[in-house]
Amino acid sequence: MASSTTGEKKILTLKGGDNEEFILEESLVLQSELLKNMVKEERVSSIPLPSIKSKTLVKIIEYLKKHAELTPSNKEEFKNFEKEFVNVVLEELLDITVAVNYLKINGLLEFCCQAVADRIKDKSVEAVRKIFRIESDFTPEEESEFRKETPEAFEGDLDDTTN
Amino acid sequence: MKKRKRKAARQRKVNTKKGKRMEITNTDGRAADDADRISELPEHILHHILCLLRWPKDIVRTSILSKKWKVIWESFTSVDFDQRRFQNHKVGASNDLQSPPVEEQSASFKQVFKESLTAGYVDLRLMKFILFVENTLATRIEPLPSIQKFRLHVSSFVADLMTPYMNNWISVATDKNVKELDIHVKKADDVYENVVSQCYVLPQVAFASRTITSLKLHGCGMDVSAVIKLQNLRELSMKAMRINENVVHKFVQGCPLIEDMRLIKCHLLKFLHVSTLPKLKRLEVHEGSNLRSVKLEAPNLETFWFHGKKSSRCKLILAGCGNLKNLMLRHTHMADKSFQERIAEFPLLENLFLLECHALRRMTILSDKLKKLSVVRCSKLKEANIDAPNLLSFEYTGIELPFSSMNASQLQEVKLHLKSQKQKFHPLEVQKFVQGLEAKGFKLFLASKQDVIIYEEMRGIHLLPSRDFKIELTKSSRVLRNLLNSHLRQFHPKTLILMTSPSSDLLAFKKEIMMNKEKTPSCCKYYSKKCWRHYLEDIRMFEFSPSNINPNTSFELKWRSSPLSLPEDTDITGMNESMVHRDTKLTDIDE
Repeated sequence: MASSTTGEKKILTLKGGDNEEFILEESLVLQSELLKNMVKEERVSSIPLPSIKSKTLVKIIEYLKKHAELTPSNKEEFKNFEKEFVNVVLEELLDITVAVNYLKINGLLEFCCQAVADRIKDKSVEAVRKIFRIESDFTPEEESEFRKETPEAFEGDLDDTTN
Repeated sequence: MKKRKRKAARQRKVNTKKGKRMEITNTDGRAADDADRISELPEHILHHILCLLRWPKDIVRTSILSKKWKVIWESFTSVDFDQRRFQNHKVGASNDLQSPPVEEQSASFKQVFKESLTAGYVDLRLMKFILFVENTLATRIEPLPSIQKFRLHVSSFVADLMTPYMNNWISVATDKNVKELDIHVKKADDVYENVVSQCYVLPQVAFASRTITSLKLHGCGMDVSAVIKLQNLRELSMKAMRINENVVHKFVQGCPLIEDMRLIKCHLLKFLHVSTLPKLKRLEVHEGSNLRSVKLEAPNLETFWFHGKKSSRCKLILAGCGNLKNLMLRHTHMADKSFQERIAEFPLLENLFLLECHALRRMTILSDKLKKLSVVRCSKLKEANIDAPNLLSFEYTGIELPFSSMNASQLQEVKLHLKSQKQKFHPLEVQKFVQGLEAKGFKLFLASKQDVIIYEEMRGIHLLPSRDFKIELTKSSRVLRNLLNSHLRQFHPKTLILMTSPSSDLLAFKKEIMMNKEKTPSCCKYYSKKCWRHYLEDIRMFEFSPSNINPNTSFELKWRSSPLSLPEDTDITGMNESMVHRDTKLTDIDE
């Protein structure tokens, strides 16, 4: 059996990592290269995505819906939505970025990467480490060597709040 | 102080946001979620994020976040231009090729085409390569504050056409404070004899950089008047370079931090004298056919490889290298006396490799530091006395065993390869040698092209005369399995005999071999070269137990000439017929 149909619209089920199911129109997921191939080639009606948290999937589906509704007249509104979309806790942003990369939704990936980059911009090394919880595994000697070699890298805002 | 204040402020700010953000900033209640997530992103995404940072300071800053980020940064700022990738017709197919826009392409293309005509060498692929490098440098490298590595591999060098371009590319790299510079040039080897006779002469900018730490050059020439000053150079490799001893002398003088120097096939070199490199740890000299003498005074040298040409009568003076740990010598004219003198100069030697030292007749090695000894094809060696109580690994290749005494009680791995065109060896000699190794815990792998015998215990070993012995002793069953696998792969032997111990690791292997009869092997799906399992046509197994304890097994193996690729329905019942259980002796089978 290929995908189930209601009227003309094909319906697809996505299964998130916690087994929560999301039922949506097949046309929506075509923005994802990965899902598009699965749907076109294998004619599946249910796709398990165990590596993606349901919470993340909700966000992504929200984006897909908004993107599908995009018209020249609501461009401004969509831009605001995008801004709001990445205005989330960093964890969540990274979750979304990883998932979007996996699903190959190229436009959104670009946008997520930009959002991640924006959180590094102008920040000092210490702040970036704190924000992303990167633990430095350099020795104090190596660290002071860097300071000598590239002092400009140690400039920047010490503020490590992310927004 | 200021920092602490900020932190407190941050904490307050977070707390007001309904605890939702508590989980990330609360440093006490670290949950599993608290891991460094960003570093887990795939490299290409991180590179993309770096691209999006745009501002050079922000980009360079990521390199000092952590070691992992340093690696990401370095791969982000490394460029590798290899002309060989343009040799097939799929130019533009590779994903790192970004073709310039059509209109721009046509303008610059016309320019390169014109230059090619002037140079008398028109090759579309070469032109595309030039345009690709030009374009990448302008679009990707230009915005970067600095680059880690620049590698250029030119496989059809045409002096008139390429020299101006290559000079410019190298200066772009040095302007960007490149750290590793790797230039490989090969002349175009086709009909255009008249245009390809010149070699590429490296520009001065390559030798006046404060940032270069690694310089690898292949097939180029250097201006005799070049001034060399690379004060941070650590690694220097020159292969097939048209350089004489003056150039090497300039490097030694102008690059005081060199730790690793390799000179390979630099045939114009007559002398190599190094005495002013206090940091030098490794020196390799390979096949310099005109080299007359090598004189070294390098107190911190740990590794010296000398691979002389067969005819070379090069003199080695290594008196000032008392810290040497690894020595590899291929020196066909080194006599006993000079060898003994050499060895005495290196009390800390841990690793000695003698290859084709044909003038060596007798040697004595007394060392409690030596861990690894390899003696390969030293054809005149008649007598060797080894007293190395800490030796772990020993390798010998030759016609007969010259070892009259060997004290090496710590040995873990032994490799013997005995080969003679004329007579068969007397196996007793080998047997005596093997048993003399105080070989507790060893497993023995004995192979010729036709047969393999594995003894998991060193009892009751019985060797048969052969022209070609490959004997390996190891204490590791992993090594043993690898040996067996690679021998099966390489030679397709006809018989395999396993003299297994009761606690054998090879019993599983035995089953695995028999499984091959039942079904097509499922391994090597994605490799064009298939492993031995795919070539196995038929197996007959015999079991015999001379001592009635150990389940010894002999296999007769039949091989196909080409690998089995399609799954076939193998007749499983046939297997039982071929499994003949016999109570017999090894010699009955191995006739």
